[in-house]
Formats: sequence, structure tokens, C-alpha cells
Amino acid sequence: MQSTEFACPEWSPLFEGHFDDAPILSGVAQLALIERLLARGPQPRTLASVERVRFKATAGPREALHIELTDVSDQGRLRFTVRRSDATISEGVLRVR
Amino acid sequence: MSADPVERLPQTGPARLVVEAVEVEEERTVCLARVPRASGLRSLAPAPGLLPLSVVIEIAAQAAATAEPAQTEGNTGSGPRLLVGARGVRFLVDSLDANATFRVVTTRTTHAPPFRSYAFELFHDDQPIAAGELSTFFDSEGAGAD
Repeated sequence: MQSTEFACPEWSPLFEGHFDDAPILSGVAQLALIERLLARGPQPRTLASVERVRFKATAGPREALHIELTDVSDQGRLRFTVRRSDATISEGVLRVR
Repeated sequence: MSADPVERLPQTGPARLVVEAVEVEEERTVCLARVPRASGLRSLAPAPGLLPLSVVIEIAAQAAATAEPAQTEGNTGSGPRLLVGARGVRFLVDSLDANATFRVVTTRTTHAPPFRSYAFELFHDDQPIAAGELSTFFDSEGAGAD
């Protein structure tokens, strides 16, 4: 299992233009954070596919988020969740190589 | 509606990845996209000069949205159209050049308000690089997404 905690400050470029009136950390930014976690792990891996992902809630600036990756098979299939204190933000199943 | 379909997108500045709508029909779009130098997504790339592979999903979601009504023109919705899911997204390359221009084709597959689903394909230099499906949510009656 791999995990990490992060929070994006309000001045992060991830919020610039997304959206002007109500900054939201995009679901794709969450996936990109997972990609970076995979690339920097003890055995660097890249995405082969996103089997499924659900973006269930939004997260804004300064919200503390917890990413967890769990291998569910020895064939590069893993499950992920992104959580904040009160809710699951996103979850899904990926394949890596 | 805006004359330029790209102007219908709620993303602005470096968050707007679609740069040109080549064809926009009710259920199908063809767009060109690039990731701006100031985009926050570039900061999450696995290595300098590359993009996160998952950026293709954002490109496809924005391209699909060019066929939808603008969210600021007589629209009473509670917020921007949100990407709520994706499935079966296959990456046919190991990396994406940060300076590439991508062509994306989207086809609407489901229209069940407030949800819509689209199939998409991305190309670089006419070579397929990714394909999959995505779903969006937009409640035009004013209810929130979460």
C-alpha cells in the first residue's frame, strides 16, 4: 500500500481558472497526483488504464486530503481512494505497468 | 449561445485546454487541445517536458462540453458542469509531450439529465494515444453536485 497526504494552497496554479468564482481541485488533478505518487514510488510505475473512477465530491483550497493506493492483484491492478476528513472525494480502479 | 463554442467552457486561463473547436454537432465534437505553460497540471507531470497521462480525460471532458449550452447564458444551473466519472480509459502511449497539440473526438452516448456520458478518442500526429468514456453532471434546476 502507498499513501500520502496533501493540501493545495489557494494560490496553487491548479485552481487558476478552475473555476473563477469557486475554486475546485479537478478530478483529473487528483489522478495526476496519483500518477506522480506511482512514478516516485520504490518501483516506478505508469498508468496503463483507468478501469473506472468516480469523482464523488469536490475539494477546495487548503483542504487536507489523503490518497491511498492498494494493489488488488499482481497484474498491476490497484484501487485508490482520495479522502478528506468527512468524505470520500474520489475512488476507482487503475491498471499500471 | 456564444459564436465560438470554446467560449462556452467554464474553465478560463491556464485551466482551459481546448483551443479550437473544429466540428461541433449536437452529439459529436472534434477539437484541438494544448496544455498551457501555466497550467497547474504541468506541475504534476512525472518528469519535465511531459504531461500526466490523465490529462487526456480533462481534454475530452472540455471538448464534450463545447457542444453543450454555455453555463452563463440564460442558464439557471448551480455551478459548472462537473466531471463525475470515467471508465475504460486506455492509454496507448507511455508518456505525453507537454508541448503537443492533441485532436480529440467525443461522441455523446447517454443523455439522462443531470448526467451525460461520452465516448472519446485522442490523437497526436494522427496516432491514437487514448480512448475511453466519461460522465458529467450538470443540474440546470439548481441542485448541487455533492
